[in-house]
Amino acid sequence: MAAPFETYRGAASPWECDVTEHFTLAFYFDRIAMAEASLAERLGLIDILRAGGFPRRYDVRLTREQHAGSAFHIESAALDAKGGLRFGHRVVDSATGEITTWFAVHWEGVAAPLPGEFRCAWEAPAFGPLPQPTDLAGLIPSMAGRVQPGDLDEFGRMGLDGMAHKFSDAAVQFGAAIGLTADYIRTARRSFSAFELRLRIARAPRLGEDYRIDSGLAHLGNTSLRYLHVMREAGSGAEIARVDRYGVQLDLDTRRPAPLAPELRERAQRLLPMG
Amino acid sequence: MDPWIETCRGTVPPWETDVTEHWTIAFYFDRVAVAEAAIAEELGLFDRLRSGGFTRRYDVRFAREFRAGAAFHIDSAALAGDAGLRLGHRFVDSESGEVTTWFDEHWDGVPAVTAPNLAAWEGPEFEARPEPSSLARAIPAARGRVRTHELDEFGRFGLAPIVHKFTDACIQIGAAIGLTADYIQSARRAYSTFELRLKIDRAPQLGEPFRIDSCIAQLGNSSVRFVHVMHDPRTGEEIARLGQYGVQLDLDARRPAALAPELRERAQRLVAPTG
Repeated sequence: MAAPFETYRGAASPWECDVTEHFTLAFYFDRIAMAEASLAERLGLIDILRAGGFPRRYDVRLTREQHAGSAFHIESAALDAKGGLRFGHRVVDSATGEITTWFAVHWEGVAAPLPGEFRCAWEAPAFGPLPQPTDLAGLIPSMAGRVQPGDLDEFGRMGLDGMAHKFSDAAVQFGAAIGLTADYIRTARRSFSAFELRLRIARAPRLGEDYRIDSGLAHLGNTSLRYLHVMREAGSGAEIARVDRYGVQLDLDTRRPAPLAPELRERAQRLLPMG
Repeated sequence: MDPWIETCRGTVPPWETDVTEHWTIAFYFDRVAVAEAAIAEELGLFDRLRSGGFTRRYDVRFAREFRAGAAFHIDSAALAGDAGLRLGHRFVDSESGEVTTWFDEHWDGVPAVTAPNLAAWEGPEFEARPEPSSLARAIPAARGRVRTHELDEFGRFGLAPIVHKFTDACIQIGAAIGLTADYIQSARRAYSTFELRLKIDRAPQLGEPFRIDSCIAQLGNSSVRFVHVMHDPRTGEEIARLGQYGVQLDLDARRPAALAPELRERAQRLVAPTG
């Protein structure tokens, strides 16, 4: 078995941090896009990635936060080729060696062989099946826009981070709908922090395409919430991508989960019933 | 007629400041790229800049910090007294008129212009700094690929993105000696640059991989000179190199502060032989 190899090294900039006062999710994807392309090049798969045309899934577990000024690197591995190609990426704190984030990536339906010398053993957290709501009628509008030049990746399509930024916008909109507004975050020192993501991209839109995102609540716990965001073509309504975002309301000072205040819980309850 | 012409005017947005709580160096280069193109156009050298293919050197002295909200402009000129093309840029505090930063730029192998209006260099002299004779003690400090949004108006890896990668490398080597995000926050110490020596041999294209290795070329009481070398990981060819001279800064007093013994000990291990 081969060892995972380094595909990215750098740092978290202050302007890449968010109202939860840590490295924002979309910038993880910014770095993963680089790691993915570097890995694909190493494996002789860059032309498949460039051509696209297959769905991709990213299952992500965030185990420790990165803050402004954190130094980190990414190690990547080829895992297997059953029912598509499967890769792993792990984000490592360069100062301590601790793994802070895991990415399991699937290229669905891609039949290319994985060179044996690159296969790695990979002790990552398991991602079980996640039941999907059968009825999306209760979703609320949370984002709409058009693919801009700055959203494109090196292959000329809407990039991973470009897309993840739109889902972050949707999460901020949806949070505000349950009362997690900018004012509330600042005064109550509470904010939403994701610990797991399930992103599936059916296709990557092109420059100038219109899209919209609708969001709903798929789970409500004491401190935990599961947001579902669905990105669709503005005209046809065809699904482009969806993300399940599991997280907690975080106390920004203790960095520990905190129960939702009753008024927020009440508003969240109203957004809950999704079939 | 004054040979210095205004080539850029603007401000420092809060999101362009860093963990040292001042305007981060890469954004100086973002603005100098604008100034460089403007003065090149003025001198009839725009097509030469667009076609590229020559080594550029930037010797930079930071005399005073810019903080969030600062208003500044850049004056640029072709400089006299050099066989090759030499340009000067000076950052001016628009409020006080004080020059805060000097850029002495050379285009190696490009003949000097014969404009009637050449300026004399009034900035600091840049003394020769010894380069590491071996990079054996250098550590991996950045790695990635050139992305779409990192291209300049000529379609190559832009000046500011290149410097952003060197900043990542600085954070990485800082973390390696103990200047981690946690330490910066709790000890209120961070690295602040007063001089840069950047040499760009060529600007990579979209999708090209790069890697940076970093070491320490000089270690003083509070001062540290890092050398970062960016190269093509496929061939080992050097792409660019940055000498970065600075001090550990007390973030409250805004004065140099001696390195703590444990940081000094770790830094000693990364000092490369010079000569």
